[in-house]
Amino acid sequence: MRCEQARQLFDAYLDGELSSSLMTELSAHRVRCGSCRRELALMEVTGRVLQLGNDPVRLGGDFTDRLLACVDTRSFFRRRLARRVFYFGAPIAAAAALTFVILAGLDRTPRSMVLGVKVERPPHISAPASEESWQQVDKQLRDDGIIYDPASPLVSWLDDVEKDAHDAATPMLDRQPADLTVLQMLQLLDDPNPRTPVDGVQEAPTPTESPFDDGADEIEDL
Amino acid sequence: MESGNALTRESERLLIERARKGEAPALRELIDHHKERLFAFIWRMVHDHHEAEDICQDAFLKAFASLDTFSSEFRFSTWLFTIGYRVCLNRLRRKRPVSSEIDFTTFASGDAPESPETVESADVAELRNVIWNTVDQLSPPQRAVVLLFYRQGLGCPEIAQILQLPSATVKSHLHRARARLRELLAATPGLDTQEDRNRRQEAV
Repeated sequence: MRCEQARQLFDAYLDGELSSSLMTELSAHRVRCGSCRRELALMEVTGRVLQLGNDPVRLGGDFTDRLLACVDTRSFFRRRLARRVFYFGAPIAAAAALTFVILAGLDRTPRSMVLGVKVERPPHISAPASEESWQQVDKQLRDDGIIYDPASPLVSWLDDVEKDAHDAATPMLDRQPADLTVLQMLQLLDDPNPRTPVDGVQEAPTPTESPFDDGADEIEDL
Repeated sequence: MESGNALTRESERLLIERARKGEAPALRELIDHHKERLFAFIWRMVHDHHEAEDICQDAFLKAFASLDTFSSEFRFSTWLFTIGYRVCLNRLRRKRPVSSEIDFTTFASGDAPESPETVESADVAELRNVIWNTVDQLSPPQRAVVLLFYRQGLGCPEIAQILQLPSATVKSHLHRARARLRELLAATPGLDTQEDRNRRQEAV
């Protein structure tokens, strides 16, 4: 056995974990090698010195009394009480919260009333807050094919609305009704003046706005 | 690991049951059983009497505050040492050790009763001094492992529980600590062998 091999066994030897055959090998090497013998002896004596002997300092005699003065024994009772309250109270509170959530969650299917017709609103569409939002809803409903279900009473009503809007808009607008959104159609229907332009369509000036109005009045007076 | 007459597992369990109810005599018994060993371990870690006492007190208070969470599958001493070691490490991290600091309380060790074991030759006293100085140069985890292994006589699994490290890591710390001790002691001038001295005399 060489010194490097012997040194690798030192820890196992000091921990008493060496097998008998390796112990014999190490002992044989120890007899022959002064360096390993000295190193091993140093470690053995180090272990013994660390194990034995009193510590140079000791705790003060009144340590226990001082420590007990810091311990509030009433807090033990309070902690035990708090734990019991927690053990019994927490499950009850959790059950109550769960019941509330379940009850509140029932019948949460989104619904809306459109002109007296109760329709199911798709859950992913929330109530629109502006005209742009209504247009998005309109587009989405078109894309989804929800409005154009021929069996729906809402669709037949919207068809009528579209037809009326087309009739009202055709004289002044050169547009196909399919190009108008439902919102534009509703705007046209609600408008008291059917000649009001819709979104960027230029209208010809009316006769009352003519620069020759005054002259015409004079001719009539004559 | 207890000082004085050791507590059996059953008597320790009963004692902790009483301590949980806040019975002062049970708390006193627990303190008296563990305080000296815990203090010795902590003092070897921090080398300051007042700080060691402070940490010791802190460890007991923390242990009592969370006594309800203590699992009786462990020894109370293991749990207490774990808390003490954590508090100790926190203090060491917060306050870096200053080499010039002297703990004057070490000079007032006349209070400690001197047993026949402490009456030793100058050689042994010198060797003890050199070895402890060498131990003080180890890193805190290595020092803790050496102290728990040699001073408290604990095995690697129990040290692993206290330091909250895997058992293999504890073993590795112990081996490295020994290697470092070998290295430092070999470089100490006073620890040369008789052979070395004879060789030097012959050369002169």
